[in-house]
Amino acid sequence: MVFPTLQFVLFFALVLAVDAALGRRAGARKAFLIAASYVFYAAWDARFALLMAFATAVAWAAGLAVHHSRHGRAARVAAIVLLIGTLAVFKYFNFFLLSLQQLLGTWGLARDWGWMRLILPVGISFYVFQAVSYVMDVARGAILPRRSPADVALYISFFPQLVAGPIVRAADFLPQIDRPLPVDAAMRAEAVALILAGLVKKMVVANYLAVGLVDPAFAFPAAQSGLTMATATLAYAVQIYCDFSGYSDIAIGLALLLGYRFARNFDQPYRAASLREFWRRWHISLSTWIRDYLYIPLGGNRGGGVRRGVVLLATMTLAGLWHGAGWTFLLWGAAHGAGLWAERRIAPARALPAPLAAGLVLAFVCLLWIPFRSPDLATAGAALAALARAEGSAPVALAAPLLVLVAAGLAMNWLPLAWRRPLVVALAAAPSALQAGVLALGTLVVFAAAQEGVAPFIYFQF
Amino acid sequence: MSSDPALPPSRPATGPAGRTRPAAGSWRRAPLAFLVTLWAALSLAWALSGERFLDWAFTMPDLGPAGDGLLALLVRAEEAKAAAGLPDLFGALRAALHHWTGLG
Repeated sequence: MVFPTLQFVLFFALVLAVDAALGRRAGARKAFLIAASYVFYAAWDARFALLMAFATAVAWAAGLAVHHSRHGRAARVAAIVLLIGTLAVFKYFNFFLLSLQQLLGTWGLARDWGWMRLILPVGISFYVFQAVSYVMDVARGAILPRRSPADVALYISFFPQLVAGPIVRAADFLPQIDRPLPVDAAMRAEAVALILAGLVKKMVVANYLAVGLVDPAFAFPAAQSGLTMATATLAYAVQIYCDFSGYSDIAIGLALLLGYRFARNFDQPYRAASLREFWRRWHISLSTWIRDYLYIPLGGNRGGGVRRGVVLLATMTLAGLWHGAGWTFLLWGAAHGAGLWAERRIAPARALPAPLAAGLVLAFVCLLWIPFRSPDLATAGAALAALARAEGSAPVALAAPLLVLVAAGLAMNWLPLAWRRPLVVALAAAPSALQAGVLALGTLVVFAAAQEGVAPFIYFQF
Repeated sequence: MSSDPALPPSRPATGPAGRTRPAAGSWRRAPLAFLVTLWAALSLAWALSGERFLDWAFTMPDLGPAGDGLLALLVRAEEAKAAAGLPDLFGALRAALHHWTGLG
């Protein structure tokens, strides 16, 4: 079940009504939201709900063991090995199988192991990271373990952010289970604004750019001219930003309507004047997770320049692999790591004017979106080669409405955020019936403006 | 924790110290008006569109007796909608927007 569908609208309207009817009965609300989240997840594939329940059980038991047992350290290690091991099996098994097949093929020992391939459960990367975060935070003493498995189950399965984040920290979410807030007018206004903004980003900007420009250009990169490939790459930068930040906006808005508040996940990333700043603005919940649970434990900023560089490179390469099992993601992560390393060594000596620095960062980020978007290294190479070509044999048409969408997507990163404030303040002051009317009418107009059919969110595959 | 700095502050998410509850009745009435309007708008949008919730309902996981009740309700609603012969205003809006923007 995907957010921008009438199926989900019906599901959410039902959930909202039942949740409101349960009022202040916190236990009943918790049980209902867990049930709703499992129904939401099972709509993809009921078998994978068991996997999520397994991750929940491991995190809950490990939390108690880490806190109360004399063997807390062993329990923590065992839980993390189990959780990350599960993720690794489902996410990387096919990749290693394919690589082994290809290797054997070069030696004349070709085998067909297609029957062994595993289906990747949607959202597994997100809820496993949340489970790891729970265990680690208990081990560090940042939170107390929960005696009730229902608390951990709701934290891991909460449907607004289940399949594509934001990756919520247990320390932020669990206290909200204890004391759910009554949703006031300001929260509703904020939710309505976020949901509508997210729908526009995803259903109008991202989907049209994908179908009209990005997908055709990346399907036949060898036929593109430098201009069309560069425009398609810029369009992909806008598409992935609008797709993913649109999902995050909708998720945060839906959670707000249920009385839960999440931190923002994007902060105008394409205006960053350095790569370091870019990673503070892009997929913030993943960046901070990687910093806290990977980069710092690996050594972080300790040690000499070379050691720090190696840690940075390793961290970003692993971050690339988190996105998917493939050489293209590995290259993307490693190149970002190398860029961050280089920036640390060069930047203090050569400070550039902010607009120029932002332009260079955007160009670097866009260049690296090419392997990220490409299905394999050969396609990425063809797309990079196309950038240097004056004319293409069958370039994609650069239609004016699509170029307007690219410009609009970039402008979202540069407009002062304050322009939305008066609108939201006015909406907060409006009667709740009017707020609902704006949400319903806005949703209807966006659905009408969108293409027919449902395009899944890019980050669902991760 | 704030989701967006451009948006007006709401009450803090956690911690009893910073929380202010409105009067018991007001926060119950406001969600009710919000929900009733939302459901009315959803029903109207469904009635004046060619969309069939029944098709999606069949793709949902089996919810047992609750699901059966919901499906029976949807079947009756879809039949009533078909009998009424309401226009597809949503389709007309979609065609107009696609024509006007050059997209679609």
